[in-house]
Amino acid sequence: MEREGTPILVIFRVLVLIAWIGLALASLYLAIGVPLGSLNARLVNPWLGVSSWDSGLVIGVSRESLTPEQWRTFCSSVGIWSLGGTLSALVAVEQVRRIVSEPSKQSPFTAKNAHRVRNAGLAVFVSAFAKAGRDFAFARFISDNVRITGAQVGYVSDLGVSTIFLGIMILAVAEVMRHGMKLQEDQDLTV
Amino acid sequence: MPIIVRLDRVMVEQKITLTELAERVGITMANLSILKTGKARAIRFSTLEAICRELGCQPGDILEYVPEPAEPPRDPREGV
Repeated sequence: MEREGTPILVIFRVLVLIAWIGLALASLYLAIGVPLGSLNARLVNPWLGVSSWDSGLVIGVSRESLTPEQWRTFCSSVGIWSLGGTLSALVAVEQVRRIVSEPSKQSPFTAKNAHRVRNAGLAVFVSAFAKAGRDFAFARFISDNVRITGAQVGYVSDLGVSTIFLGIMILAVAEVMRHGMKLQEDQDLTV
Repeated sequence: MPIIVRLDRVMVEQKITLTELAERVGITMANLSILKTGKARAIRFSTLEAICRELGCQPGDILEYVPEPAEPPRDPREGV
């Protein structure tokens, strides 16, 4: 089986693998490490790849500063949303990894790959909602538990329109791929 | 598909092999095999013309329309 490819493809494969390992570790951290409290949880931007790096106020939460009840509330709200987002991002990266792992001499336009692109699009779509849910849960937790003298703390929800748009675009590409393959099949079976 | 390809029957009548017909028509054996086994989705007029020319037959000798059996009416008691 042909496993080699162009240098760019090899670099891309390595990057996808790094992203996959990062997301898998983040999933493990969120699923096991945070509830157990074995790691110092600072879930400001907990899931890799989907976090925004805007400048502004940064608020972190550590287990030591919270009561057990507050910690349970935090894990069951923010932690679950974060885990959902990380897992959906992991699903998207896994689909890309499977596509780029195929032998390079083989045509990428196959029914299996169209299905994978569609799955990746759906996963990105889900991650947008998970991110919005996480941000909302985090903001609500902070709003309910943090008191700053002289300041009002509230929360707003951002649905992540750009990520949703990206998901729709990927789904559109999957549909174009599927239609193109149908045309190719018709062409191949025309004598 | 209700269009049946009867190429094998005409080839037997003309005593011609798949390899020979493919060479004379100018298409690959793989494509002619797709046509012969009924897997083809479409046939070009140019291909049909070449096959008819080489086999000395009409398109109707190669292609036959066999209507598919109609589906039995559903029992309304079965529900939606």
